[in-house]
Amino acid sequence: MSELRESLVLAVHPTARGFGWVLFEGPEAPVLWGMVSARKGREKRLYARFERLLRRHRPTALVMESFEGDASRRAGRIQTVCRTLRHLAAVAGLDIVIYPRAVVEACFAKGGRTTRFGIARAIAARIGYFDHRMPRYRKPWFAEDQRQSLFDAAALAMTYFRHAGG
Amino acid sequence: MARHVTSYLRTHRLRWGLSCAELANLLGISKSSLIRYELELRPIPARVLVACELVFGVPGSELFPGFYEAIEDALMARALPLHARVADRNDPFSRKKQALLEAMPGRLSGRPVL
Repeated sequence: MSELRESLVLAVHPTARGFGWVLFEGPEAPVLWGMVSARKGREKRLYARFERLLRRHRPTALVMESFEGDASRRAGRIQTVCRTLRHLAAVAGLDIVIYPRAVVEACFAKGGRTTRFGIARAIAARIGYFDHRMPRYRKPWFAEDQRQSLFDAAALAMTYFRHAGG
Repeated sequence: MARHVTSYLRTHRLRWGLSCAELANLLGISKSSLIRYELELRPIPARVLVACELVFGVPGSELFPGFYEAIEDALMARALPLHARVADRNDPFSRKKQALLEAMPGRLSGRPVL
């Protein structure tokens, strides 16, 4: 457990508007978090911010959600962003861990919480560090709230620690 | 393994939803100074450290573990020669000093003694 406590894990979740990120130093110990946004065609800004995160905090691992293959339905632009972030992390020497959505959902499946919003609520209740950033419930005709990406990234980091901890 | 995170000031600010301007105002410092303390570009002065402890209800050693560790390491390095000087003396003053110096490692902020 002490080794887990000392590993700094960066989880990112790219969206159409940018990416949400969280830095965890333990299973339920977020250190920093935030969202980076950039308009379509300004992806360089995302990469610069990502590199700054790597430089400043020196995480040991990057956790992302699966973005390639049949199981993923990410848009081509987001897939490109994900690939670039993965490449930048590999160049910086980070361990890269990619979980399919189903694995993340399985981690939070107790009580039937399997939607992104349900997972976000579970995280807000369990950790309480960023419960004030909880997105509103998304009706089908609403666009996704950017804050959701923060909770998606947190879910990835918690999944990582759940799996790393056995 | 070395500690990764050496300051939790920004963690606590974000946790409580405070903006830089709001916290800087609470602490009585400028926004740019706050950012420098958060990024550890400048050592935190005692009056700001005490104010941070009061705002967040967290001891300074938990808010700024890197700052404390640097001070503790330097202090212990200076204490060693003094302890070596008084260790083989048996007068009352030296015994008092020995007791003080030997209790110091126990007061470090939860870290193993170097």
